[in-house]
Formats: sequence, structure tokens, C-alpha cells
Amino acid sequence: MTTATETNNPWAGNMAGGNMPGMEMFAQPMQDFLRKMWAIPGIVETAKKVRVGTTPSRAVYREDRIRLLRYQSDVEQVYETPLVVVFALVNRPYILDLRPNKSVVRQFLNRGFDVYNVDWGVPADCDSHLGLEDYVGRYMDNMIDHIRERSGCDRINVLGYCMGGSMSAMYTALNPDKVKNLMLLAAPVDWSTNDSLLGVWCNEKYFDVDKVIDTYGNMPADWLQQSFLLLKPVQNLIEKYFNFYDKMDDQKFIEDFTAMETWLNDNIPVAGETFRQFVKDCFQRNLLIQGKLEIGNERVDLGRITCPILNLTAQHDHLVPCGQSIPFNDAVGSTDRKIINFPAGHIGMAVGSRAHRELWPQACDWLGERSDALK
Amino acid sequence: MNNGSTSMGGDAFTSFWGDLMGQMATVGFTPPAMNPDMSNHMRKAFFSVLSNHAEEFMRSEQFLSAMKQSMDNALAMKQQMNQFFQQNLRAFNMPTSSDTEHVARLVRGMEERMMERLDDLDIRLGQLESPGKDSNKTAGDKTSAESRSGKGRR
Repeated sequence: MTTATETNNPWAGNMAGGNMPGMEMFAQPMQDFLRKMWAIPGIVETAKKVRVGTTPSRAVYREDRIRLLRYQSDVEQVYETPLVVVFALVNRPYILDLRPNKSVVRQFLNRGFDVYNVDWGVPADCDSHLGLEDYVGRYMDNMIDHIRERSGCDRINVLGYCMGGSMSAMYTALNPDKVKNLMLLAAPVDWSTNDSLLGVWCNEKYFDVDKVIDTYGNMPADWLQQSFLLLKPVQNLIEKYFNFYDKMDDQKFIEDFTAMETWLNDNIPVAGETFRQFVKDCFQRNLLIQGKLEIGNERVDLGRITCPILNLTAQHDHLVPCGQSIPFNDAVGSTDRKIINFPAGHIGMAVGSRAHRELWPQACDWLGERSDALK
Repeated sequence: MNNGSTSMGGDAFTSFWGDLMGQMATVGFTPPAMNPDMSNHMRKAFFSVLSNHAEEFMRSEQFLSAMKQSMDNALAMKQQMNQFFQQNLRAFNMPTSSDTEHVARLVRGMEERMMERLDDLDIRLGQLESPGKDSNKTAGDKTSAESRSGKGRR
């Protein structure tokens, strides 16, 4: 818990030994306060230097605003079957590669996987017509075909996180012959429960998604960000800053805090039609798990999924409670299916120290056992 | 004076305070023996109870109705602003966002019609080139018709 500035900090010593009678009880808090204030320039410098998404990558495929990133690694490739990571449309995908020591991408790279990540880009006003048909039926399909061509594999591994997990499930149901193994991370598929506050807010009685999209075109990033903040107002607006004050002289904490804040404040708008479809068909009508969802002119039948499934759910998830993810394993036609219900929150699954120590090695083992080795 | 709402507020506070004191008791809070560790526990307990009550409130009909009301107001204001800007832009003979959207819709419609025609041509060409034979399509291949249609690259 030392910073570079602390070595010159005149408040780092002990004030309690001063000669002011009766001041002992205030001395320690005051000393702490002054030490923290002294550390502020160091915090600002640290915050400026923090980089996110640091694993080297190269865009190997582009279409409209989307990019497919392929990660580079010094570790020799062990598995032939590549892995593509699909994140949600509401935030940037670098959460899965936030910091070098908290990177899901690096976990897989270090095990010898060839890893790709989908960057959906930022939709502009003229992209408001893009629907799930475009994202799942066209962009995802084209990217996965590109990976299949590059790697020479007929079927590839897919890891979908949050809304990206729902989209991966939809894609796999539509193209079961292109996915070898499917991993879902905190991915909602069944919105029949009211466990999630987001689900309550999306109730059609209170939320007229048509009116919002008809007015704005795309779902504004500010609206999304405020909604996510308000899901946990005490933690996000008060407690977080108390914790920050407590640990503001801890360099490592500041680095992680800044990286996390960078990502949290990096919301992007969602293409209007996609948002409308997702809210109406998933949150309000719950069509996916019932096998009634249609993308383009095709019905999404989860029963068509026969590949091995690893469903990673978060016990303390306030965005996607376990009850929204677990029914997926019963809806698919696969016989090789597994659920790991890990004690973490929605974001903690991707960036938590414990998840990186205990969960991701398990996930890498699971995927390694089911992937083809490099010939 | 609204006795009903005062009473409701009083009940909410009593419930909050009861929960808070309950959690304090579980961490062994006794005021004379307080130390920094204890104050951290107290803070955590306070935030935990506050958070639970906030979530309960945000699920209430009262909050949801207020949320809907404020959203409706925000949307009405945005619609008025859109109309205002559209009228002014039109007065200066300048294109508005709805004009560009209209053009974009026309272009997309034309594109779709062209793709459909090309798909038809592909199918007819395939029939001419290999009459009576099924095309040999591997898992990795896309026909040119598929590539251009909704499932393919554009």
C-alpha cells in the first residue's frame, strides 16, 4: 500500500505523538486524510497511465462498423479450433481483456488457443435500422465464416458474454453445424422471472420501447449508462467512492479502479431496431426459451443446439440472475452440458481475481478437452 | 397535512432502522467499544440495508409510475425539439434527419431488390450449368446467392 509519492509525504509519519492534549482521537483520522490528499497528484498520474485492452491484436475482418480482432501471443498455439468471443452491444468488448492480470482473453491465449474478439463498433444514426437479423444473421455469420476459412476448421468455439451470450445462443441454434463448443457467460435466455430489476423496468406497462426508439433512432448510450448505474444506486453512487477514499493510497487499487471506470463510462448506443427487438421479444414476450423467436424468417429453436455447452452463471449477478441463464441447459438438445455457478457478480466473472484464479482455468480445461489439437 | 403519506414514510423508516440495527447486532456493535474495524462493519451494514430498501423502492408501483412519467416527459421534450429543428431546417431548404433516413430507406430497398434479382439469376445460372444435379456444397462454403442474401456478406 505504498505509492511513489508517499516516500516524500510529510503526513506519512505519526501525528499521534504530538503535544496537543486530547487530540489523540482526531490525530489518526486527520493523518489518514492528509496522507490521502497528498497522494492525489500520484492518483491523477496513475489514472492517466492506465491502459485497457492491452493484449496486442489486429483487425482481420471488417464490415460496416464491425471489426473482428485476432489476438497475438508469444505462447505457441496448441489447439487448432479457434475461439471467438462475442460481447454485448451495450458496452465495449475490452472488458474481457481489461488489464493484463485480469484478461479472459489472455487466459485462453496462455493455454494455446487462437482467440478472436468481436468489436461491434459504435452505431451511427443511419444504423438504427440494423436488427438482430443483421447482427446475428449477417455480421456474426460472416465473421464466423471468415474464421472458419482462415483456420480451416469447419466448426469453431464460441464464448458469448451477457447479451452477446444470448446472441451466440441464437446463432448456434440457427447454425448448429458451425459451432463446435458453446460457452455462455452470464447470458440471459429466459426472462420469465422477475428477479432482475432490469426486467421489472422493461415491463411494457412502464417502458414503451417503441416510443423511445421512434424518438431517438438508436437507444442512447446515456440512457443505458444511467439505467445500469441506478440498478445498484447505493453501491454505484455512494459506496464505491467511500471504498475509493479508503484505498486511494493503494497504487494497484487505483489502477484497477481507473480501468474499470474507463470501461463503465464507455457505453455505446444500441442500434434502434436491435434494441426494440431485444426488449420486445426477449424481455417482454420471452420468446427465445419458448422457441418462438424469429430472426429474419427463421425460427430460433434452441433444441437444435447439439454441441457441448458450458454455462457460466454468477451467483450475485444483479443484471442477469442465474434464473435467466440456467434454463438454457434444459432447452438445448446437447447431451454434454455443464453449469458452473460461481460466487461473483456480473462483471466480477470477467475481471474478478477469484474468477481468474478458480473459474477460468476450469473453463480453459473444459474447452481444451473438447477442441482439436494442432496437427 | 397528509397523514397517510407521513405514516407510510414513518413505516419505511422504522423498517429501515430495524433492519440496520439487526445487521449491526450481527457484527457485534456496541457503541462504547467502537474501533476502526467496527466502524467499517457499521458502514457496510448501513449501505447493505440502504441498498436493499432502495431496490425494494425501485420495484414499487410508486417508483415505476414516476419513472414512466419522467420518461414520457423527456420523450415529449425531445420530440418537440426534433420538430422545431426540422421546421427550421426546412425553412432554410436544408435536409433534416428524416430526409436522410428516407433516402437511406430508398437505397436499402433498391439494394434488396437488386440482391433478389441477382439471387434469381444465380439460381437460373446454376440450373443451366448443372441440370438435374445437386450442387456440392461443403460446410464452409457459401453459394454466391447466400453471400448476397440476408445471410451473406453485403
